[in-house]
Amino acid sequence: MNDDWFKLIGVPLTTLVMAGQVCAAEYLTVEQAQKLMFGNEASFEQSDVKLNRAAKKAVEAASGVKVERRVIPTWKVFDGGKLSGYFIVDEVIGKHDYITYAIALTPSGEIKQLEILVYRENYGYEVRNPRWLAQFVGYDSQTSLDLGEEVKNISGATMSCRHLTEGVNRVLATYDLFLKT
Amino acid sequence: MTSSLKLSNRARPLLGTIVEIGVHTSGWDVTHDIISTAFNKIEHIQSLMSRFDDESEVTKINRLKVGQELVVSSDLIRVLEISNDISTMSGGVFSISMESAPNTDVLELQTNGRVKRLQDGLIDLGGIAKGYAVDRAIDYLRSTQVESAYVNAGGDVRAFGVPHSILVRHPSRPNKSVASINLSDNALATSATYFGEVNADQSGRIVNPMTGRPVKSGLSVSVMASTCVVADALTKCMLMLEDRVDPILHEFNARGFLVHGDQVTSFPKIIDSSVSHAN
Repeated sequence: MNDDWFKLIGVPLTTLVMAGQVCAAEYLTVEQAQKLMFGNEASFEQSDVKLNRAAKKAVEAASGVKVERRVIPTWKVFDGGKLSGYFIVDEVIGKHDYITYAIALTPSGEIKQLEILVYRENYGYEVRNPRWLAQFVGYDSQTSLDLGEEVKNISGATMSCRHLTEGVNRVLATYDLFLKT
Repeated sequence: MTSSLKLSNRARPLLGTIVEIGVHTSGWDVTHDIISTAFNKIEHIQSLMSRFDDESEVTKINRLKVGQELVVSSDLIRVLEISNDISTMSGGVFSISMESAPNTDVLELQTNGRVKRLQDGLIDLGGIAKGYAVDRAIDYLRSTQVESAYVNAGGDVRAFGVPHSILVRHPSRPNKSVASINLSDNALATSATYFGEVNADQSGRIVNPMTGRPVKSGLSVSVMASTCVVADALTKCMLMLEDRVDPILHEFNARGFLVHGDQVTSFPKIIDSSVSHAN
């Protein structure tokens, strides 16, 4: 056995999209994510949530997260003529760049599924974080997600994960204030 | 492997990081069902082993008083067994105890899936459970018609089928790679303390129980092994033991390299001729 199992190679990571590692990837289109989350039979009626200044402040107060975008792409989802949930596309900044993700909510505002659509992180390959993230599924706006009391040595993927957590809290607060019936 | 196979990949925030799963198949729908189920396997392990989930088995163990017992899942028993082995082999450098006590001083594994608490102190499986979750997802993917796949949980990667090229980031130049590895039917875990990513006063994600101090920053270690759980745990051993990690690597038929500045050191340093390439 010798050292031939790895090659020393110093290439810029910004220019590469690499198999087997998160670097800069488009995982799903909006349409693919909609079908994946609600099935082929569901119909989608786009009705974006638009936040005026007061609404923006209300979401920020409820979630503790700053609102960057006033228009949140939102679809009401119907199956067999009945509301089967909401499909929301949101963005958070990762460590350096935006991550686009989709959240499927049940009619009562529970997270049904979360999928990353586009991950544009330049610094991709990441270290572990000994802190674990509370599971997303099953949470609603009454349960604020928290990464843990003291997140240290934050790497790109871990930082992204933290910002996703904040994004989810912001989306849930938006649901609570403007979508909940 | 024919070139008509298509890669489908997806990512979700899980295990405190971004988990990416990619598979090669020919059908869109089939693939996505399979990927969803693979993510579910990871979520299941997270729900058992997260220290931040009030309902997890780890949380329940953390609530046990000295002398109390708890029946836990076979998954948790397996992770505890592996971590006990590595804890012993590393002379306690690897530990699930947040107080850095040797594993076997904290918990006793009994028959019938029971664990008994021997002393106080929180446990945290963060150094090993992520690799285990990756292994479970890979086990599931192997049981399907998928011919080739990879799972990457923020630097814990396992793959099978077509060779997957992995680039490891340079610890002090984060926009550059330092090495490339071809993975096929094995796992690679990287653990690092990157320069410029932490405040000087909180560089220690990984604490060396021998000194109680954080491992120095600007270090990166990568370990290749047949399973991700072993690769994951051995990166911690290597960060702390450096040269003295060789016997543990031999034991698991694993190998690794350490990057510090521009220096790359591969391990094990002393080659045992009886050890063949991992897988």
